[in-house]
Formats: sequence, structure tokens, C-alpha cells
Amino acid sequence: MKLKIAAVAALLLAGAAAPALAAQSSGTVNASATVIQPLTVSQTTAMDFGKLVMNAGSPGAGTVVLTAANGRSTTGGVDLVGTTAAAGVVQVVGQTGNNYTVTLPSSTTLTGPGTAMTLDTFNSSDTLTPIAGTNNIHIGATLHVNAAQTAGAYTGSFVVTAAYD
Amino acid sequence: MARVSTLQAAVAVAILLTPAVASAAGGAKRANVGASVTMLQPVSVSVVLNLSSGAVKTSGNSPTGTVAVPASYPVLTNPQPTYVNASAQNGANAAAPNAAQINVTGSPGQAFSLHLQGWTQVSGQAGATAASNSFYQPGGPATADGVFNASGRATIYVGSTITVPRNNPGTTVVLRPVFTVTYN
Repeated sequence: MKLKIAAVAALLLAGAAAPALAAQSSGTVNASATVIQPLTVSQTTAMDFGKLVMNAGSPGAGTVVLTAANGRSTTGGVDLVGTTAAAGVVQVVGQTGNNYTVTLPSSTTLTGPGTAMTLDTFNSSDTLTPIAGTNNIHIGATLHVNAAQTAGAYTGSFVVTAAYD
Repeated sequence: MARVSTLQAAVAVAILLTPAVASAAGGAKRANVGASVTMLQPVSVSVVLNLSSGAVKTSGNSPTGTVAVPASYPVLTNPQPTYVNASAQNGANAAAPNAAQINVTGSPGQAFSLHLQGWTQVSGQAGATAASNSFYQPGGPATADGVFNASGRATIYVGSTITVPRNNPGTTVVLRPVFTVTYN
């Protein structure tokens, strides 16, 4: 980086200096650059909505809200089973003192033996912008369960992005 | 001189742009995060057999008699039903006591609980009741908690102590279990 800026300065000065040869004046321009630590983003915990079952009395479509604190709640014709669920967690590592922004997706789908389910309304209880250093970002979302959803395991993934401001 | 200046400017622009391009390409980082959910099969239940006292008659002037039907009877010969202030009616056509049998289906390998809420009398001397329930699962625990087998099936037998209002000639009390089954 320093070499590039020095070269630019030299080129610019070369053009500017030509008419000034007669005056024989000169100057010094300082140039510097700071190379910062690349960002890294990695999953530490996969998002898991746990086990669900269609409501026996009214097995219509419903939603399951998974909070960034691992809490679950439902609406419509789906019931929770057990208590095991996990919000997604990613660890973002950046240069201390340099702000960056974490971006969550708008939606994705979980696929399995039945109709695909939409996963959206991603959210986090952690600050996403601006942040610096190392951060664990806890991520919740809303799962849309279709009416009479076929039993089985459904999986998918979503992308979390981090970029320096 | 004009050509040299143009070249110098082009090189300068290229060098100035290079760091910005590198930053845009390498600055943003991304990670794939897994997401999953498991949908279980809805639980279905069927009462294969209601609880029955068998043919029983109360003793003398006793206002009630009781028949304690073990959950495992008659799947297992022992223990046998026991009687207080009552006795089994004998004879070729006399009905024998039996525990209630409940068949349940759900997702294989999943744990469940049967919540017995009470009994509804189907027939026999009016006013009969049942209490002190017990449970039996062939090859499983003697509780109302079970696990669906590889085929997603489970069977729970429910016994109870039946209180029969006075009936000296004899009666057969039949009670239907009232219950729910939920995944654990």
C-alpha cells in the first residue's frame, strides 16, 4: 500500500515538477496506510427450532417465533414439543477499534419431506452496526409452517455477512 | 510530453483504484448458518378395550364392593384381580375382568405421556367409579410414559380399582378411559 501511494505521488509530482524545473523547488509529501485484520465470520451454533407437531384439533398453518435468546412461541395450528431449541450464533472477528456492520438475510427456506417452509424475520438482540472487535451475534427468526405439514426433518441455511464500515 | 502525461494519469488512476477494489472484494465476509426443525407425526389414539370389572356381585348388605383390576391383567395371568365386599361370578358365561387397552401411534422413537383424566361409565350398575390407576406396557415401564417403537406404535394397559354400588344379583361394570397423549 505504501509503495502504491508513493508511486502515485511520484507520478503526480513528475508531471507537476516539469514546468518547475527552472525554479528548482522541491517538497516532501508523506504517505501512509494501515492494513487492518481481515474480518472473519463463522457459525458457532446452528439455528434449531426443535420439535413441532400439528395441533390435533386445528392443524392449520402457523408460525413459530424463535428468539435470539432461544425462546419459542407459536401461532396458528402448530404446537411445540419439548423445550430444546437454539438460536443461531455466529462469531464475527474484526480489528479492534474498526467498526463493521453485520447483515442478516431477508428469508430462506427449509426443505424436507413435505412442502418447503419459509424462514424470515431474522433478528438479533445484539448490536449489528456499528460494532468492533470480536462479537457473538445471536440470531432468531420466524418459521412459517404450512397446513398439515408433513412429518420429518427439514433443513436449510442462511447467509450472515459482515463488512467494515 | 502530452502522451507521457496521459500515460502517467492512466497509471495513477489505476493505482488509486486498486486499493478500493481490493477492499470491496475482500472486506465483506460471510458465513452459512444451518437451520433445522423436526415435524413430528400427529399422535392418534384408539381404545381397544374398556376397563371391565367382569361379572361381579356385591356381598350382603355392603353398600359397595370393589374389584381391583391389575393393569397387566389378563395379558399376564398374575397378579389376579382382587375383591373386597364383592366376589366374581362364576359360570361359563361369566365375563372376566380386564384392564383397558389403549393403542397409540406417533413418530418412531419419540417419548410421550398418557394423561389419564378419569373414567366414563359405559354399562353396568349405575354409579360405579374407578380410582388408583395403574399402567402396564409390555417390555416397557409400568408408567404412563412411553416411547413409540420403530413402527411408531405403543400400547398401554390401564388398570384401576372399580367401586361397584350394591348389586347382589350381579353386574358387569364397564368404564371407558378419558385421556390425552402428548409428546414429551
